[in-house]
Amino acid sequence: MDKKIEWLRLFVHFGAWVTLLVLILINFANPNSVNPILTFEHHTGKAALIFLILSLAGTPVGSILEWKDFAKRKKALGVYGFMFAAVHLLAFLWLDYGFQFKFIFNVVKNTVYIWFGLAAFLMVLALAITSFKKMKQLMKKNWKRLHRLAYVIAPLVVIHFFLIVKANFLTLQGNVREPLIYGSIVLFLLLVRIPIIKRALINLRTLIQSRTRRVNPV
Amino acid sequence: MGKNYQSLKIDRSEITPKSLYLSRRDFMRSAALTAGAAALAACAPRATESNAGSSAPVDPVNTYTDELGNPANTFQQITNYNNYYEFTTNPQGVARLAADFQTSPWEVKVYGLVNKPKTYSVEELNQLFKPEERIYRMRCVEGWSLVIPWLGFPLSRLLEAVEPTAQATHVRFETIFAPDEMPGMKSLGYPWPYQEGLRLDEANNDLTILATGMYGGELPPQNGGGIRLVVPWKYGFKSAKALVNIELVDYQPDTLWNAIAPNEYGFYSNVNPNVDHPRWSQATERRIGETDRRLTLMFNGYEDQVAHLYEGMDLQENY
Ligand code: HEM
Repeated sequence: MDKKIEWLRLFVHFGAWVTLLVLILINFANPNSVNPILTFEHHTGKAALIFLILSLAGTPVGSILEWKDFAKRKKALGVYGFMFAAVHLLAFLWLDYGFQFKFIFNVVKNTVYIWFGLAAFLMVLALAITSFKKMKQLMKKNWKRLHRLAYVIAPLVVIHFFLIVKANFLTLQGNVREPLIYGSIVLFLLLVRIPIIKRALINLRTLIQSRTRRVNPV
Repeated sequence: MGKNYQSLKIDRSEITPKSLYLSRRDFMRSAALTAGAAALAACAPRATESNAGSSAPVDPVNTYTDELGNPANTFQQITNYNNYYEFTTNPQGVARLAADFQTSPWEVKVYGLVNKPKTYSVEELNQLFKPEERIYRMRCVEGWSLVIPWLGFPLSRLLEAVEPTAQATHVRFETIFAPDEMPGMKSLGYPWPYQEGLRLDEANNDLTILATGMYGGELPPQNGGGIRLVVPWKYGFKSAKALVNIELVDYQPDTLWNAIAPNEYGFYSNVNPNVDHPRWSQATERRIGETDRRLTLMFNGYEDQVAHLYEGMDLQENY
């Protein structure tokens, strides 16, 4: 195998584990972390979302930008998205609520954003446990169908995020910036899968490439 | 006690500090907890002369407790985690961004339906009304809380001095508008400046104070200096910071959060474990520095002092 591919692969694995370690350290081994449990919940939630977005970017980056090596990493990126989502859920159940299911039940019942988080988590879980090669062979056509859930998960997480912040999304008032940014990225990554848009972007890329080649003959 | 408070699920006789926790083993002593205790020793703040309303305690851990016996949070915790959207929406980022914010000299104008409108400097207020120590719980609408030793004086004393007219029914509070010094004020989507309001009887309740200091010293800029409102039985956002205008009016004033999301942040915004935020539960809270959650108390534990203000009102409706 090409050496470059291995570097990217290493980078993904290394990046995910270092991120997890850093998030644990800056929250739980840092005297300046005043509200570590809530902050850790936020950090792991955001890390999960970022890895899921990177995974979602795999296919368009491969086809439109022709960075095939990156496209090959989309499975690992998605599994790490699941890992952070699992840590995020564990932080909620264990660190935040000490596995007190009486309270957890009450919170889940009364907290709309958790419904969306749970729905997203169950779907990511389904994709993660079927992500092995064996499963893919066993499930045949159903595997592809199931893994289309990826297009649903990211929007669910964005709704989860929207519902957490103190804001009004009808009037765009309040703390709307971050969820809007993540929401736009997810929307863009879904739109570029539409054939016309995809083709237009590929044409644009070849146009730019031919231009730069003319100026800079290789 | 009015009918509407009967739905309170906790039996008050059972409220001992211990039963407030959701019982669980302390299997995860957060590192921050111990680290926080260490920081306390280092950060024990000194009383400054100007604010020496009470003598500085030698050992804050033993001296600073609220009336329920809860120890106050450390100076480090109080000054490094709070919401102050004029600076940033990140509660951990406020302290750094507010560090250079000038809180002295500071003036606040008291006007409107009063016989004696006047602009006061904070020094003048401190001389006139002799700030006292008030150790209050502060419950954020996001589900976390702090115990803070404020230095302040009852708002009622200031109102007495300006003599509200018979028409006055409410008090409107307005925070400074300073987008050049407060970077968060440059972000769109907020009807700045921050505005809050109280009914006149709420404003005159003895618990309602204007704070000009904290932990025996000056009020740090990130905590609302030069001068702020503290209304301990309401969610934290009601306690407007960096006040420049206090106006007596004859209408229920608009508030910033009510203007943004009227169905989520009502005018009253009393701490109430039985009335959830439309999107999340308000039943429990995490006291900063603690591992276990606590049950949130009706009126944040100040029921005896303030329940009569809402006698006969439906608190589900007047959230
Ligand atoms: C795929 C699954 C999930 C993803 C990607 C995800 C992502 C996120 C994100 C991006 C945030 C906001 C972070 C911030 O504001 O900086 C968040 C917050 C949060 N999430 Fe999730 N989430 C997921 C599932 C869940 C589940 C299953 C639960 C609980 C059962 C949950 C509970 C929470 C809580 C409690 C917060 C903090 C809310 C607060 O500010 O009080 N999430 N999550």
